[in-house]
This record gives sequence, C-alpha cells and structure tokens, in this order.
Amino acid sequence: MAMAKRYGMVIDLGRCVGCQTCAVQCKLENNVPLGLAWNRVLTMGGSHLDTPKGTYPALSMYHVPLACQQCENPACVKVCPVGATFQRPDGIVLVDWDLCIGCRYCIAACPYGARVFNWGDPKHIPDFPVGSPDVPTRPRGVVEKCTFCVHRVDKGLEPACVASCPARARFFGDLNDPESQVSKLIMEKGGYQLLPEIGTDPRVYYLPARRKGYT
Amino acid sequence: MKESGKTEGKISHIISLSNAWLALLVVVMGVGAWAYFGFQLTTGLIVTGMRNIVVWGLYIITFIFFIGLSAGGLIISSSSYVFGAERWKSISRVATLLAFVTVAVAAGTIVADLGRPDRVLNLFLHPQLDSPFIWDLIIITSYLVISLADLWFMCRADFARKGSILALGTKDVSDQAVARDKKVVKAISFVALPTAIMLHSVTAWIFGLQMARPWWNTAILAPVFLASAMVSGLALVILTALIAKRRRILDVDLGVLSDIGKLLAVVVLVDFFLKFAEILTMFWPSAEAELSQLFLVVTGPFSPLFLIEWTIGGIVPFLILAYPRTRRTALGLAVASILLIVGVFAYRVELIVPGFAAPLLSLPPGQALGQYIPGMSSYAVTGNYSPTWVEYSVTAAMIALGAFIVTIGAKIIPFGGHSTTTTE
Amino acid sequence: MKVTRRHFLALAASAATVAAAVPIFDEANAFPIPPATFQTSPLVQQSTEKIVHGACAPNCWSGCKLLVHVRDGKLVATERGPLPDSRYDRICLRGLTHVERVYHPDRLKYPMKRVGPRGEGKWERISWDEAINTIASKFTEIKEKYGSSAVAFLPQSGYYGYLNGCYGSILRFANLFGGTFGEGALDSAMPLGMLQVLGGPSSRQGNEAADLVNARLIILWGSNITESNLQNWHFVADALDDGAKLVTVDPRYTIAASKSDLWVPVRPGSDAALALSMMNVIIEESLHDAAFVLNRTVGPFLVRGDTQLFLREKDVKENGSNKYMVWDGSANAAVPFDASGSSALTGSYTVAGIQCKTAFQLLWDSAKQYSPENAAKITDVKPETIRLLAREYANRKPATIYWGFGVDRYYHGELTGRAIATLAALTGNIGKPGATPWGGFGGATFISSPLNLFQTGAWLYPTKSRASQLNNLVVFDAIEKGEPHPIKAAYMANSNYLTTFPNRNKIVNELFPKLEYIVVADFSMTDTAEQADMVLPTTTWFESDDIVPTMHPHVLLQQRAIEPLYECKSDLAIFSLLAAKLGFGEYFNQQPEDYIRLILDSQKLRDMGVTYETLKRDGAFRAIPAPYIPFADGKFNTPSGRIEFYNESLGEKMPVFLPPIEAWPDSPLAKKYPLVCSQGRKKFGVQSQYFNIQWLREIDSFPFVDMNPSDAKSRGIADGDVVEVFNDRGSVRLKARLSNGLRPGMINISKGWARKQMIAGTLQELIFDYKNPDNMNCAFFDTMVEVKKV
Repeated sequence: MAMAKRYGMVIDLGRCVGCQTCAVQCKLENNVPLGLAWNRVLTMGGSHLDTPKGTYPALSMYHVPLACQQCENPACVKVCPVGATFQRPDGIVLVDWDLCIGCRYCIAACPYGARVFNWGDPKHIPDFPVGSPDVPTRPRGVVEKCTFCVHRVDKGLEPACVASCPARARFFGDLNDPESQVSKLIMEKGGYQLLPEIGTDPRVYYLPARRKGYT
Repeated sequence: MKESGKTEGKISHIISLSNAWLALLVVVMGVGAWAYFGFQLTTGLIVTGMRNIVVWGLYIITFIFFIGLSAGGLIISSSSYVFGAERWKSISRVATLLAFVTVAVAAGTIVADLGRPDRVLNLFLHPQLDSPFIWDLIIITSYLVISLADLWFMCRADFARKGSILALGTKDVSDQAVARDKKVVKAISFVALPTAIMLHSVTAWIFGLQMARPWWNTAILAPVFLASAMVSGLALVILTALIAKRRRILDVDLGVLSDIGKLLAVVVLVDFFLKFAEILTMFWPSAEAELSQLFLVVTGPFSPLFLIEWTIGGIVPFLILAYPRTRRTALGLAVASILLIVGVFAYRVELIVPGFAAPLLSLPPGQALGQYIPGMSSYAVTGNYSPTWVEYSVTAAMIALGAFIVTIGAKIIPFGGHSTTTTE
Repeated sequence: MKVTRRHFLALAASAATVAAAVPIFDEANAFPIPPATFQTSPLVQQSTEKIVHGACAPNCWSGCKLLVHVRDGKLVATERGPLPDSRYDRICLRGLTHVERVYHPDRLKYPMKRVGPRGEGKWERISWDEAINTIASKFTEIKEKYGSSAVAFLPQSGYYGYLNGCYGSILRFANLFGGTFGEGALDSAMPLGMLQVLGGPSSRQGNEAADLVNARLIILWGSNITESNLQNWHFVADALDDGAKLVTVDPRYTIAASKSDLWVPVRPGSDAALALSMMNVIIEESLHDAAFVLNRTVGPFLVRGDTQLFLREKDVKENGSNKYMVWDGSANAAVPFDASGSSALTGSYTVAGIQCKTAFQLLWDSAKQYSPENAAKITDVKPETIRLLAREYANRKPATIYWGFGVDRYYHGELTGRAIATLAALTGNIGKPGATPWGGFGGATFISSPLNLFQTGAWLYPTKSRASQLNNLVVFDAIEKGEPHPIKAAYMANSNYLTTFPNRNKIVNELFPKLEYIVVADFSMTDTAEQADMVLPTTTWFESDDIVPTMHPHVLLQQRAIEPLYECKSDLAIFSLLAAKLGFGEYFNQQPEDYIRLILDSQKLRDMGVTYETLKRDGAFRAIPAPYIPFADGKFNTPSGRIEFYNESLGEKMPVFLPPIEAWPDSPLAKKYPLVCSQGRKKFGVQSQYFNIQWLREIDSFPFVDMNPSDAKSRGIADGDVVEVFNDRGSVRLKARLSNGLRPGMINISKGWARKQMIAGTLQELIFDYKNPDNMNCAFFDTMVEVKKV
C-alpha cells in the first residue's frame, strides 16, 4: 500500500517579492471577511510594510508569506477543548465550524499567529458569497484559518495561493513522496521551517531569500 | 454559641445598610446583564476591547483571579480539619462559602468569554482530554461539588435544628450525627486540599504549557499560581471575616485572623521568591528575546502593573503583616488584605496581556485585527488592549453576583464561630 | 526624414501605411497558431456557474487573461486564465478584486448633472435622454461657435479595449465629430529617446518579456518592477534561478533592490550620466563589441566637424549620391559606405578639406568627460561601482536593460533613453535572445504597433473625417491660449486627468474655467469627475464585450459576464447614443459583436486561423511568433538603417547628460525646497484605479509620505506625524512614514490616492507642467518640495 500523503507547501523567498497577491487570492477564494486575513505577507526588514532595515544605503529586506503552517505537531489541535480543531490523515489541520465554541485557546497556542477570530458578524464586500462555493461561510464567534484549500486539494488541485502567485514562488505537494517537487526543493535548496525550536514541525517550508551581494 | 449583644438601633442600622448593599449589587448585576444580553450576545465579542492579537482580556483575567481567590477558602477550611488547626474552624464556613462562590463566579466569567456560548454544552459532549481547558473543567466541577458538599456537611446540623429546607430532609441532630458530619467534613478535606492545589496548577497549565507564549511558558508558573492564589485567597478570607465580624454575623477572634495574616506574610514571601527566580532566569543570560519580553513588562508600557504588584501590592502589605503591631489590628489586616488582592490582580493582568502583546512573529504589517475601519489599517504589529464598558459591566456583574451570593449566604448560613484565645 | 512624435503617431494610427523602410514583423515567418483548447477552470465548476473569458486591462498594461466566474447572474470571482503561450499566464492582487470593484457601493449608478459650482459635489440625477440631449446640444453649440475641434476627447490608458478603451469608440467618435483627440505627454520621453537611436516603432523595440529568462544580466533601471510590472517578475526570477545576476539602479531601495545582487543608489535624475560613464569605461577598456558597432551602428560614418551632419558623398564629389561616407584604412581615403567594405571605427580625418570624425570617435570623445570619477560627483555613485557595472554589462552577456518610467519623468528624460540605447549598441546587447535595451514589453499588440493585424483602420477611421490629434500638453495650451485652435469642451473617459497630469491647481483654477462644458464618463467619482458638469456612469469591463490588445504578444477577448448594473452604459453605448443625436448615428448603430467582427475582419487573421469563433473558444490568441526578438536581422528603422547613437536630425546629436530642470541640488528652487519628490507606483492600485477597493485598503490604508529618518529628524518629524508637503505650487497634508529605504534628500508619495483620501490638498498640486519641446512629456519627478510638521 502506498504511504499516506502528507501535504506540504514550499515558498521560495528568493522569488517572493511581497506582492500580496496570495493574501488577496485567499481572501477571494475563501470569502474571508473584512478585517480578517488567513494569509498575510510580512516584511522582514524595517518597522513598516516594505521598508528595509539598516541605514541608507546599507540595507536589506525580504518578504515572508505567512498562513497556517499546517504543523505535523499542531499546538492548536492539542488545546482545543471540544476537538473543533483537528488534523486529517493527510496532515491538513482544519476547524469544524459547527463545533467551535469560540474560546480562542487555539489562537493563544499558535506560535505563528495564523488564526483569526470572528469577533462580530462577518462583514463582506460585496455582501454576497464570492470565491469558491465549496467553502462554507463562517458565523460570528468562531475561529478560522488557512485550510490548504482543502476543497481544491480534494479535487486534485493546488491551493489557490499556489495557483495564482505571480512570482511562481509557491509549490505544493506530498512531503511523503521523496520525488515530489516539494520534497526535492526542500532537499536541494535548503528548505527551512519557521520557529523550529517550538517543536510544532510545520509542513510549510521556506527557501532562503538569496542575493547576498555581487560575486 | 455565644450571642453577640446588639442594640435595637444598631440592628435597624445594619439591616438598612445591608439592604442598600444588596440593592447596589442588584443594580450592578442588572447593568451587566443588559451589557451581556443586550450587546455582547447580540453583536458578538466585538463589543469588547479584545482583537486578534490580545485575544484574552478582562474576562480571562477575572477568571484566573477568581480561581486564585478560591485558594484561601478550601485551604483554610481543610487545613483546619486535616492539620487540626482547631482555631481556624471558626472561619471555616466563611472560607468554604468563599471557595464555592469564587469558583462559581470564575466559571460564569469563562462562559461570558466564549464566542459561542450557545455551544457551551459541546464542552461536555465532545471533551478533548488533551486540552488543559478540559482538565480545568473537570477540576472546577469537582471543586464546586466538593466545596458545596463540605459547606453543607458543616452546616447540616444547624439547618436541621432550625428545620430549614436546606437540611435537605435530614433531621438528626444528635451528637452522633454531628460527629458523623464532622467525620465527613474531615474526609472531604483530605480530598479538598489536593483538589485545591490541582485547581491552581491546572489553571496555570492552561498558560504555562504553551510554547507559543514565552512569557507564560515556564515550569514555575504552576507554583507561582499556587502561591499567588494563596496570597489573594487568604487575603479574601481575612477581609471577608473582618467584614462579617464587623457586621456581627461572625464571631472570630482577631488573633485567629492575625495568625492567618502571619501565614499570609510567609506565602507572600514564597510568591516573591518564585517570581524572582523566574525574573532572574529571564534576565541573567542577557538574551535579546527574553530581555525585550521582560522589559516590556518591567520598564515598558506594562510597568505600572509591575510596580503595583511589587510595591503597594506586595512589599507594603507584606510589611504590614510582618510587623505584629500592625498585623494585630483590624485596620492593618484589612488594608494589607485589600492591597494584596489588588497586587495579585495586577499580576494577573500583567500575565495575560503582555503574553499576547508581543507575538513571536511580529513583522509588519502584523496581524489582521478582526475589524475593518476605513482609513485605518486592519493590521497591527503589536497588540493593544483596554477593556470596554461591556467588559467592565459584565465583570462587575459577575463579581456582584458573587458578593450577592456571599451576602445572602451570610444571612442563611449560621457562621457563628468559636472564639479562642490567640496563640501569640 | 525627421521623425517627430506626431509623424510617428500618424504612421501608427493609419492602418494603410506601413512604417517607413523595413517591416519589423517578419511576415514570411508567420507561425501557425496552435489551437489553444479552453482548459477547464481550476476553480470548481458548478452547474449553476458560468465561466467566461475576460481580461484585466488597466494602465499597468499587463493585460492578464482572466476566467470570470458568474453564479446566479452575479460575478463571484476572477481568476488567472490560461493563454496559448502559458508563460504569460498571470494575475495580481488587483486583478483579483474585480468582484469588489463591480459591486462597490460607490459606483456611479445614473447620469448626474452639476447643480452649484464646479467641485462643490452637488449633483442632480437625470435621465439618459436628458444627459445625451444636453451633451449633444452643448457640443453642437460649441462646434458652431468655435469649430468642431473645440471639443476635446481625452481618454487615458484606464482601459484599452478596442471598443470601450482609449483607442476605441472614443477615437472613432472623435474622428467622425472632427473633434480633438488628446494623447501622449505621459511616459513618452524614454520611448522617444529609444526611437531616436533605434528607430520605431517604440512598442516593438524590446524583446518579449518571456525572453528575460535568457539574460545572464538584468539591469532594472528606474523600474519598480515588483510593484508596477509585477507580471514580468517571474521571468526575472527564472533567470536568477538559472544563474543570472540582477542589478537595480534606483535612488530608492525598492523591493527589486532587495532582490538584487547589486543595488546602485543613483542620485535622482542623473541616470544619463551613469550610462555615459559606463560607456566611458566600456570604450576606454575596449570592452565594446567592435564588430557590432562597426556593422550595426553609425559608428564608422564620418561626421562633418563644421555642420555636425553626416558627411555625404555629394559633399565631397560633384553629382555625388546621398550615401554616407566612411574611412577606408587600406585605401587611406573616405569612400561611400558600402555594406561589404571595411571601414575605420575611430579617428579624425580630413576629407575634401572638411574636418571629420567617425561618429564612434565623437561618442568616445564625448564620453571622456564622464569618467567614473567625474560621474561620481554627478550621480553620487562610487567610481568602483560604475566600473563594476560597466564591466559586467559588457562582459556578462547576453544582458538586458529593463528600464522603467522612473527615469522618464525628468525634464530631459529622452536623453536617458538615448544613452541606454547607445549602451546596448556599444555592447551588442540588441537583437539577441536575452539581450535588449528595453526588457519586458516587446511584442506588444497594442494599437501603436504596425502589426496591422486588425481592421482598426476601418473601425477607427470610418470616413475621411479626422480628429485633431494633439499631445496632451498642447491640449492644455489650447485650452489656455487657443493655440493651435481653441478647445472649449472636454469629454473624458478611461482617464482621471486631475490625478494624472501635473499642476492640478492650474488645471482646476485656470484651465477648467475656460472650458464651457466638461463631461466625465467613469464608474467611480474620481477627482476629475468631481469637477465635471456632467457625469455619466459607465459599465465596468465585465459588463460589456471587447477585444483587448496589450503590451505582450497576445490579444484577449473580453466577454460580457453580467448585465450592466444600475443604469450604467458602456462607452460604446454612450457614443452610440450621442452619435445618433449628432447626425452620424449610422456609424454607431450596430452591436458590439458586429464591431468586433469588423475589427477581426482581416486576411492576416484569417491566415493565422483566428476568427471570432476561435477567439470565443480560446479567449485569446498569440499574435506574434515566438520568440519575439526585434532587430535580430540587424535592420533598424532609422534613416540610415542602423543604430543612430549619433542622430544628425536632433539638437543634441549624441546622448549627453543634462541635469533635471528642478530636481537638482543647484536649481533655483532647490534652495527653498530641498527634497526631491518622487511619486512611485504602488502595487495596491494602478495609477488612480482601485483607490477605493477595501480589500486593498485594509493593508494600504491611508496616504503617507515616505521619508528617510535623518530628513525627518532634522525637521522634528516623528513616524506617523501629520505633515505638509509643499512648494510654490501647492501642498498636500498626509502622514509621514519613516523608511530607511528612502534616499536622504528625497521623499516618496505613492501616486493613486484620491484627493478626498488626503488630509488636505493632493499630490498633483506639487508638480509643475514643464514643457520640454524636445520630448513633450510630463516631468513628474522633476519636482522639489519641503516638508514640515503640522
């Protein structure tokens, strides 16, 4: 029997230019309400978006798209008192929006700030459901987060952010398959995890932002 | 039982004060109910000051604070039976009532914090045993049952003598029955003491096991919770006993309270020591991450809380309690208790909010806060929190509810008490 | 033949004429388009869901193919669509927000006429009948008083579909009416410069974007590619993954700079000096491609020292021809240029008593003053960096220069274009895979290409009647002074003149008052619409059919996805109504589909197998064979047929450095206003489009001015303070944002915010409407300001 799939993602920070397309695509695909974001693109540099650190002209900056890291050892699953947050056999961590009691313990437990909460009634613009019809709209009072576009993955498609990245910097596949593109990229280009010392063992890997100077 | 002598005038004076007090509590509860049912339940938690960075605020702070306040109760009452500290039996009923009420208030406040209170039954239908919340649920439930049972068995004979329905149909007030009651109470105490200790540890573990929050993630958090729980709990017992004594519904010797005060001073020292150990461990290695987290609290925007916790909420009441001259006065005990309660509350706030305010990954533009206001970014890199009127009202209502139950309880439960000589 | 801009435009616009000497499009090799099958949408196909072809076509010129999802009659998603050449599949954050755009609550819903003074914001809703009647009678009145050219039709590149875009029904209408058609004056200095060296047409001077992956060195020069040309970034990333090096030349530390191996923080406006210094190093160190210069440029042609014109045979011989003269070393004489002979590349010679030098010698002599040490003083770039850059460009081949309009926006912008084209010529980085002086936009199918694929002639010029096509800066002159003819009314569509053009206060306070009637057709209340007399609600792109050419080798089909919302009408529909009232309704009485068929009715398209039916099936076709690499045949559309880095028809015959007119340390205004005001493009909008899209505003929420912390500190400005940016012309109030990526002495305010989003004033108040007759382009960044805390 073939080994079970463990889906993972690779984001090449050398190609990523922080354009926020993946953030907006996620918003559309999953009908994410105003004020919330499942996917954000952060700037590693100065104190504002797209500003570098250092003193002109000795500067550096790169961008880090961040959503749920779909950890192998998810902290959020362990703390959920009602099991609304759970992990599928293929590794994808999901929230059951019918069970969630809105205690926000999972938000406290997540080291990546990947989860968001519907503090009030979700507000959308436009005010009718957009994006994929397979993503349920969530009510007030529950937590939500990136699902690895499970509604697409289950149909053999890539997550929406991977499909639309203009820099073609995102990759998705089966980490259990050593021949998959994601596995190879991690091995060959030095894929790393965020906050590995926490021990959540994320299945989102990053390739280094290269460009170290003229040689 | 020694009856306290009261003049007619004083009684009428007391009764009208008591009614005014109850009326005030009812008003506060009414405002809180209006805030909760009229606003929070209809609009959602967006009426609070919490957003996606600081996701827990006044409600959770109140929750752990009240859990902490319960420590005094069962520890006093069970110690008096387990360790035979006879002189404390005089306040064991007050203490046990406080234990029950504070935990009940805590449990109620937690429900107020839920995004989907309509699904609270899911906690009982789909409990996940990995979750420290569920451990807390179990232990809180146990604690409520134990403390209620404890109190009942303490009072059963008195209820039966009066023919009150609170006797639950029992009528036997013979010496054997009373002795049996005492045996049950003693047996319960053996269970209650470890339960109380577990209650605070488990509550600490909700936070202390989270690797995502370095401010919380330390093994010493459970001992610290235990110590500060005892500080606030014992202080509450002393304060309540003083009030009850003043109102002449409890007859307890000041010496007894002063003894508890001495214990309290020792516990304060233990609490200081544990906290100091944690601070030193964060400070000495001079590692940037830990230092910045520490200084966020010690010198940064949260430093007022830190100062309150250690100075007027810590050292000052400690000194009051350490010096016999001040400790042996009602005023001294009252002031010290109030200050310690304030200090522990400050510690609770200082624990929760900074734990969220500086997330591990705080890069611009930050986290999407959960509310879109045109012209402003939906994002923030660090968290801000200040409670709204809804949170204050609901919290005040929960506290008022607790005070209300204690006040009513004081009317229907014969506190009595045996006065003994001081041991000093 | 002097190639002026107007002449060039007339060439481009007239379908019948093929541009001068040599066709760029090699018809002999027209490739058979492989049938592109319409792939199933990756988004879930629901039985209640309809998917149509679409195009996202705002002024980024990216022309991304969309698949548009409609559910229950409502637009629910736009997603990246597949193109026949899938390398060009892409979409960006803005193209994903059309769902919000179409249903935005601020959309204009019905025609409105102004009540109260202009700009007050008081409107009265009227019917379409009344609107059309009013406009028609006003235009007729003005035509009778001042002539038909007194009505100006002023589109911009807000949309470029052939029916509803800037070179669409508005031009057809303007021609039939005989009005004025405003164009240009934007982003036109650099293309002009390239054109003056390489010959036209400008839209075909670069290799196509997909060719970027072949480059070993890419120099991003004044290009904020990751925000303004996001669509091309992945090609650059592919090249980098393949071992290419990336250089960014930009005063600001942009995201592109953060991805580069080398960032050259050049002084704003000094780019030509940098290029010339590179030339200096390349020639001095003999790194130039001598064979290429000899055979493909005017390098060996002799230039007369007395007239600065090329020496012609008839200058030295009776009844001589007009041929150029070169020096034959073996014969030790000047001979008429003959492609097969050998000639000297350098040297001074006396020919029939006339002192001559080869054009290359002149270039070398001129470059001598731009030694790296001298250039360092001008450009503020270290000499060793200039040397490194020059050597890399000459050695690491093939090399692409990908310039952006950052360098276009100074008074002498075209000189930079000429310098860059000359650099490419010197090193032979033209006409080869991976080598081009204008990366990223080659193979454009847009109107100004001579592809002549379409019957745009028949569509845009249905009769002999012609509009007066004027440069927009001339349009402003005409409004102000009546030269070359008066302009008394304006009809604006797909444009937002007040956020686009400089000197807003002058336009609003002096020019608009001279216009008796202003109509703006748009789907939001823009800055310009606020000043109109009549506002007409147009449909968004998804509510009408169109054909969309763009700046890459495809042409896209825009299918109507939903019915027009509210009372909105497409630009074509509006012009149809107006035409009927104005007496030429017969040219506007058909359906969009009919006009699309008209446009597609060409033998060339039929030969390629492209029909409306195939277009409806595939949604797009690739119009130009791959790979598109112009000048591969070594032929240039110049008078000499060669690269004219020495252009005898111009005042400055060779590229030189002239400082910006205002944005230079020793300019008169710089004493009072010491900060250069750049207005970079941001990814959260395209020009002023998307300004009110909340999905984007959540992240990019309010206007701010980026300042270097040292500049801010010396002015007592802290991060987040409200400040006023001002100069003699106007001011704008907004928040300050400190960024170390800003060059000290320079600030940046992103273009695109509406005036009502600012705290007070607006960006375009600060910019002066300089008119350089040499390029007739707006010099936006040639602006100095001061900033103070309020």
